[in-house]
Amino acid sequence: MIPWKKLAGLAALLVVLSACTARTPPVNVEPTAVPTTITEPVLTPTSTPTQVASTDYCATCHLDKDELIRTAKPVVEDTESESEGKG
Amino acid sequence: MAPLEPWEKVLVKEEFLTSTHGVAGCVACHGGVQAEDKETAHTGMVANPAKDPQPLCGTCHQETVDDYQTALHNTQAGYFKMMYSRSLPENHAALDEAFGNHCASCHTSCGECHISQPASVGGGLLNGHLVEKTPPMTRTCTACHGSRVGAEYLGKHEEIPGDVHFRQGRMNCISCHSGSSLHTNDTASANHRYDGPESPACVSCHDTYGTLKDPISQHVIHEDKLSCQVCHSVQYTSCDGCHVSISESSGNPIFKTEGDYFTFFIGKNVRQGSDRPYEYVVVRHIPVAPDSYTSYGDNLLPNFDLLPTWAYATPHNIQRSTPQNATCNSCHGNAELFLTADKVSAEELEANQAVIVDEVPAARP
Repeated sequence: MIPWKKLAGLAALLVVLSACTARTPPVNVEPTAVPTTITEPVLTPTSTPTQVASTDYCATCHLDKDELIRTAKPVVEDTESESEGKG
Repeated sequence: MAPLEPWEKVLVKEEFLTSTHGVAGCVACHGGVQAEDKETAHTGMVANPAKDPQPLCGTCHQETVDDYQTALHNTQAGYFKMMYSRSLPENHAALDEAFGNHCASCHTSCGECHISQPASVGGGLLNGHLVEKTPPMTRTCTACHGSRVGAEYLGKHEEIPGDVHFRQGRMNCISCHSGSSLHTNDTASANHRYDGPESPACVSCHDTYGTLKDPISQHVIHEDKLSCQVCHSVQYTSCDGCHVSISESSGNPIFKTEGDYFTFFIGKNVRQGSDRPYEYVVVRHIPVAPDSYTSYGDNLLPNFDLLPTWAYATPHNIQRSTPQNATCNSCHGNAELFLTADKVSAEELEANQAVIVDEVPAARP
C-alpha cells in the first residue's frame, strides 16, 4: 500500500521548507561580449563640404550653350602646325 | 575628324546630372569650387581627373582599373621596348625626355575613351559627359589610330578599298579588339602588341581555316607558311624617318617625317615561333632612322641595326580577293611582291637582313 497520507505530508513539508531557504544571489546574466567588426565607412570621393550651394553653378553654366560661348576664352588663331608628315 | 568648337567640348547634357556617374556632382571628381564666377569656380579644377583612375573610377571599377595598369594604351611599353632595344642604358634618360615631349600624349586614360575624345586629338566631350560604355570608333579609336589604320580600314585612300570587315561586315574596332583586350595585356604581351599569341586572331572567327572543313584548298596548302595578310591585304602605308625636336620659334615639340607612301611587300617573319609560325608575313617601313632623336643627343640609337626597319605588319585593309591571290603565279615567282635586297636602302641593309627575302618562291609550272 502506498502511504498517500505520509507522502502528501512530506510534500507539504518540502513546500514549506523551500520557502525558508537562503536567498540565492541573482545569476549574473550580463550579456557576453560578442566580438563585432567595426567597419569604417567607405570613403568615396566627394567634394569637401566647404559650403552648401543652393545653386549648382557648374551645371548652370555647362548646360547652357550660350553661356559657354559667352564665357569662352578668345580663340587664338591656330598657327599652322610646325610638324611635317604623318604623325 | 573636324575639330570641336570650344563650347562643344564642355557642353554637358542635363541627363548626365542624374546618371550614375553624374549624381555626385561636378566638384566631386573635378575639384574646383562652387562659385558663380568662372575663374573662381575653376580654381584648382582638374580637367581630366581620370588620369589618376584609382580614387575615382576604381571605386566601382576596381578590377578594370587594376587590369589597366598593364595595358599598352596605359603603359606605352611598346615604345620603350623598341627605343631601348636600339640603344644603350646610358642613353635612356635622353630617350625618355624625347618620349615625354613627343610620344607620351598618346597615353589614354579611362575618360579619354569613355567620356571625351583623347587629349592628343584635342579632347572634347563625346556625348555631353555621359559615359559611353562603347567608345565611338571614329572619335576615339581612329582619332588616334587614324593616319594608317583608320584610313585603310575605312577606305579613305583613293582606289584602295576599305577593309571587307567594314565595307560588308560593318564591324567596328571592338568587334575584334574587345574591351577586355584593350583594358589589359597579359604578361606575354605586356611589352609589345606582337608579343605572345595573336590577339585578336583571324581564326577566332574563321575557325575552319586550314582544317578538313575548310573549302578553300589554298588555306590548307599554305596553312602555317603565310600570315593571313599575305594573301588578303592590299597596299598599305609605309613611312620613312621621323625626326623629333623642339621648335626654335615656338618651343613646341615637333616632328618631321621624311615621307609616306603605299607599299605591299612580303618579307620573312622575324617573329616566327609557336604563336606566329608563318614563314612569310607582310612588312611595312616604320618611321625610325638612326638620327631620329639627334636633337636630344648624339648617337642615341647605336644599336640601330639590331631591329629591322621593315617591320612585321597587320594592315587593316583585308580583302577576299587580292591581286596576289588571283592565281598561284600571281605570287609565286613574282619578285615585285617580295622585299628583296634591291628594295632596301643601302644604309638599312644590315638592319633588315632577317626580313629580306633572298629567294623568291619559284613560279608554279
